[in-house]
Amino acid sequence: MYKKLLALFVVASLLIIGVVSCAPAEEAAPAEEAMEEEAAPAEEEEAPAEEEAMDEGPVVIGYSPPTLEMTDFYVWGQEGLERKATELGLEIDVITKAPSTHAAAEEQLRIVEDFITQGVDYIWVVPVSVEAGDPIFEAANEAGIPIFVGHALYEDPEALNIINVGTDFEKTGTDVGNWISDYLACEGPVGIIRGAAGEYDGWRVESAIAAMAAKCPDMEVFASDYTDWLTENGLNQAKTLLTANPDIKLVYNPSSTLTLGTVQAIDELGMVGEVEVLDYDLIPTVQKMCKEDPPKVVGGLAMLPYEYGAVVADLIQKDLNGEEMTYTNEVPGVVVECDEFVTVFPDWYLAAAE
Amino acid sequence: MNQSKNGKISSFFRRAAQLRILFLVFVLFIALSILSPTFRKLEFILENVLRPASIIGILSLGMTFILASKGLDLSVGSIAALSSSVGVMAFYKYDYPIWLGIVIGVLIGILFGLFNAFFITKLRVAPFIVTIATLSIGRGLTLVLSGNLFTYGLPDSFRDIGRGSFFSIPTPFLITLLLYGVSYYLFNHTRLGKYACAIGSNETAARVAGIQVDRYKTFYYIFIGFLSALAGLIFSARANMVAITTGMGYELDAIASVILGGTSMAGGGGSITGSFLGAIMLMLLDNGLQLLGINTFLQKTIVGMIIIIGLAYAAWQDEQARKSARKKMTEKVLSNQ
Amino acid sequence: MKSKKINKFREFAGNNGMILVLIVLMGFMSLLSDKFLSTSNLVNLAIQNCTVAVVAMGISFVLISGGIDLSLGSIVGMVAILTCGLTEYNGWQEWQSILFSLILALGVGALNGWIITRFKIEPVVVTLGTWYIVQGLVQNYILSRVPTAPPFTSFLGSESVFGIPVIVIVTVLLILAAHLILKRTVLGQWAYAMGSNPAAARLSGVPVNKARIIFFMLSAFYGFACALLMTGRIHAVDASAGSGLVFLAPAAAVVGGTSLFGGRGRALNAVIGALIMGVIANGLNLTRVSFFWQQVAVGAAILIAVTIDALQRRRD
Repeated sequence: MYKKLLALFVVASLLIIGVVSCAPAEEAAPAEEAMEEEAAPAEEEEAPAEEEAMDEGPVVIGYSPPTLEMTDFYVWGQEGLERKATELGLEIDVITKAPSTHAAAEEQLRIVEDFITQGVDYIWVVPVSVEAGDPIFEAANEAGIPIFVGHALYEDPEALNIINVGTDFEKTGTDVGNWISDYLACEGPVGIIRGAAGEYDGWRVESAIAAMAAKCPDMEVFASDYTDWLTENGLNQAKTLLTANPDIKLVYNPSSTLTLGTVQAIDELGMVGEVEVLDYDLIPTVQKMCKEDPPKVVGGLAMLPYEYGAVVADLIQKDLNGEEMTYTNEVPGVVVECDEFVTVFPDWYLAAAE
Repeated sequence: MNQSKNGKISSFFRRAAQLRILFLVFVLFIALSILSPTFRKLEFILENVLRPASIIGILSLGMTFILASKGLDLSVGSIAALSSSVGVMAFYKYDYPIWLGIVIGVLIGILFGLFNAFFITKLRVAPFIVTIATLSIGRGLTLVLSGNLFTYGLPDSFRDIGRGSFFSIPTPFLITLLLYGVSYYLFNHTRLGKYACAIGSNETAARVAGIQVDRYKTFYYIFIGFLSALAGLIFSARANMVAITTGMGYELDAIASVILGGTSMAGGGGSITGSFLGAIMLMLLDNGLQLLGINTFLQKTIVGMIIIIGLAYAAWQDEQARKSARKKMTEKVLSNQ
Repeated sequence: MKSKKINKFREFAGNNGMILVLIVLMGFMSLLSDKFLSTSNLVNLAIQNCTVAVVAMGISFVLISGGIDLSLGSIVGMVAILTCGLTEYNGWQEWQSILFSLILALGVGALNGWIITRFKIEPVVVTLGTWYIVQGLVQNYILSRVPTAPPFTSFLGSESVFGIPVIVIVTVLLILAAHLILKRTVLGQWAYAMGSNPAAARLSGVPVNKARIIFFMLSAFYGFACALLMTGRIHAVDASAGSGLVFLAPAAAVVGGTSLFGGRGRALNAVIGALIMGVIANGLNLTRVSFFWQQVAVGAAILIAVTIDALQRRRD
C-alpha cells in the first residue's frame, strides 16, 4: 500500500517539475495595456531587418537585476532593451532572473554562473551591491562573455573589464538635496524615509542630507528609521515621523515603494495638501499620483529605467558590427516636477501611467 | 516537567502570565509618556499604535492556539499576501462586488490553512518544515496570479476598512477587538482552547485520552489561515494597494507577541489576552523606541532580550514555587510523624 | 533468497531514499537541459552548494539531539559582517577579526544551550530571542556599510589549490568531521540518544545538559565556517548577510533526511539536502522557467521531499 503511495508521489513530483519547467518562460511583463497599445506602432517603425545575426538565431542576453519583487523598476529596463532592439532590427532573447529578497548576493552569483553554463551571448547584471559584483565579473571574464554592469557608476570599468551602464547615484542624491533646498527656499523641516541599510540608501539619502546641510544649514531634516524598502514599514514610519513633527513641509522617499506608503500616511493623518511628497524612480504607479486632485506627489528624481536597456541594445549592436564598446556609459537622472514629466519620459512610458 | 495540565496550575499560570504582560505594557506606557511628549497624545496611541497593531494583533490570536498546541505556522505572511492579492483582484480587475472579493480572499486563507493542516496531521510532517515550504509556495503563487507587483488605487468603500474610524477608534482595531472576543471565548470557554494546551503538553497522552487531535489541529491551522487572510485584506485597505511584499515578517511578529504574552510552547498554558497585549506591546516598543531615537536594529535586540529575560524569569519563578511547595510538603509529612 | 534481496533493497531505499530522489532529479534535469551534465555545470553545483551544506550540517547536530536553532542565520551574518567589517573599518588584522568572530559565535551557541538547559525553555523560543539579539546588535554595528572580504577569507571562498576549489576541500573536510563525530564518538551516540528519548538518555547516564550546550556550540562553529566560505565567495557583505539561511538550513537538513523530531540523521543528509535544493535551483535556471514559478517550485520540492520521507517513516 505504501509502496504504491510512494511510487505515486515520485511520479507526481516528476510530473509537477516537468509541468513547471515546461511553463512558457514568461518574461515579466509590466502594465500589459501599455504593451498592447504600443506593440502596433512599434512594429511599423521596425527598421528593415539588418540581419546582424552572428550565428544561428537571436542574440541571447542573460539579465539579472537585484530584485523583481520589491519594485518593477528593473522590468522597465528589460522593456527598454527590447524596444530598442526592435528598433535596431536586432533579434534578441532575454533571460531574466533575479535573486529572492534574502541571500541576494550569493543567489545572484549562482544565477550568473548558470547564465554562463547556458552559453548566453551577453550578460547584463545590476549587482546587489557594488563590491559583491567582483566575483560575477570574474566569472564572466573567465568565460569570455561580455558583461554589462548597471546601475552604479564604476570608477574604473576598464580595469574590471566590464561595460558600465550606470548613473552617478551620489550626484542624484546631491541633486535631490539641492532641489529640495531651492524648492522650499530653505524653509523646512524636511522628512526623509530611509530604505534598507545598504549602498542605495546611502547614496540617495546621505548625499541628499549633505547637500541640504550645505545649502540650508539651518533647515531641519528628520530621517525615519530603516524600512527595508517595504511599503508597510514606510507607511508606519511616515506616520510616526509626521506625527512627531507635524510641521514637516516635504517628505523625500528614496524609492517609489516608499512613496506609496507615505502618501497613505498623509491621507490617514488628514494632512493632504499640507505636506509635499518627493519620489525617487518615478515608476508609472507613482506617476499616476500626479494626476490626482490634489496631486499626491510634487515630482521626483526621474530615473530612466528603460534607458539602461536601450543603451545596452545600442552597445550590443556596436559589438555585432565589430565596433568597440565604450567602457563608461552614463545614464543621468534628473529631478522633475509633475508637469515636467512630458519633457523627460517617452510617450509609451507616460501611457503606462494611465 | 509539568504534571497537571488542566486545572489549577495551568489556570494560575495563565493568570500570572497575563498579569506580567499587563504590567509590562503599563510600565512601558508610563515610561514612554514621560520620555516623549508625542507619545502622550491620545491620537498618537490610537493612530500610530492601535491601528497598525491591529494586523499583528489579529494574527497573534490565531497563533496562540497554534503555539499552545506546540505547532508552528510560518506561512501566515504569505497567506496574507495571497489572499489579499486574489481578493482585491476580484473587485479591482474583474469588477466583482467588493464583499465578494473579501469572501474570496478569506476562502483562500481557509484553503491554505487546510493545505497546511493536511501535511501536518495526515502525513505527520513537522509544522516547521511544512509552513516554510508553503511560505514559498504562497509567495510564488502571489507573484504568478497577480502579475503586477503593485495594484494601486482601490475603491473608497474598501479603503474605509483600513483607514476609517468610529468615534475615533480605528476600524481595524474594532475588527481586532471583535475577533479578540471570539477568540477569547473559543480558547477559554470551549474545548478548543483546553485541548490545545493538552495537545501541546503531551500529544500522545491526549490521543490516548480520546481527544481527536487531528481534527482540532486542523481547526487551528484553518483558523489562523482565516485570520491571515483578514489581516492581509485590512492591510491592503489601509495601504490602498496590494503589494507582493505584503506580509513579510508577520509570522515572526505574531510568534513574538504570543511568546511575550505568556503562552507556553510546552503546553503549560496559553493566554489570548496575553497574546493580544503582546502585539500591542510590540507596537508600543516600535513606536516608542523610535521616538526616543533608538533605531530599528536595537529595537530588535531589545525585543529579543525581553523575550529571553521574560521567559527565564518565568521559569525561575516556577522553579521557586515548586521548591517551596516541595519544602512545605516535606515539612508537612515530617510534622505528621 | 529473492525476498531477502528485496528486503535489503527496501532497507537501503528506506535509509537512503533522498539519495535516490537526488539521482532521479538529476537524471530528469539532464533530460530537460543538455547543459546540465556538463563538467562546468557539475563543478558549479559542487561549489554553489557548499555553504548551504556546511550550515545544514551544523544545524543537524542540534536537530538530531532534539532541538532547533533559529539563531544560526544571525550567527552566520555576525561572523561574516565582523570578519569583513572589523578588518576594513576598525583596522583589525584579519586573523584577529576571524578569531574574535569565532569566539563570539561559540559564545552565542553556548548561551543558547545554557539558557535552554538551565531554565528548561523550548529551544524554538530561546533561539528566536538570541536571533533577534544577535542580528540587532550586528546590524546596528554595520548599518549602511558594505565591507569586502579580507584576503584569507577570499582565498577560502574563491581560490583553487591544485585545480580543486578550496571551498570544496574545506566543505569535504567539515563533512568528514561531522560524520566522524556523529558515528564514531560518544558525543554522537549521546546526540541520537537524546533525540530519540531524552528521559531514557538521562537515565542511562548521558550528560544531557552539557551535551546540549556542546551541540549548540558545534552548530555555531559550522555557522562560523559557513560564514567564512560565503563571504569568500561573494566578496562583500551587508546588513542582511545570513538572513536567508535561518529557514534554509533546517529545510536542507530535513529534505536530506534528518528528522525534525530528533534521533535520526547523519552528516551526509545535509549534503544531499543542499544538493537537492541546489539542483532544483540550477535546473530551473537552465531550463528557463519563469522567475515567477521558481518560488512555487522550491516550496513544492520541499513538500514532496518531506512527504516521501514521512511516508517512509510510517512503514517503520
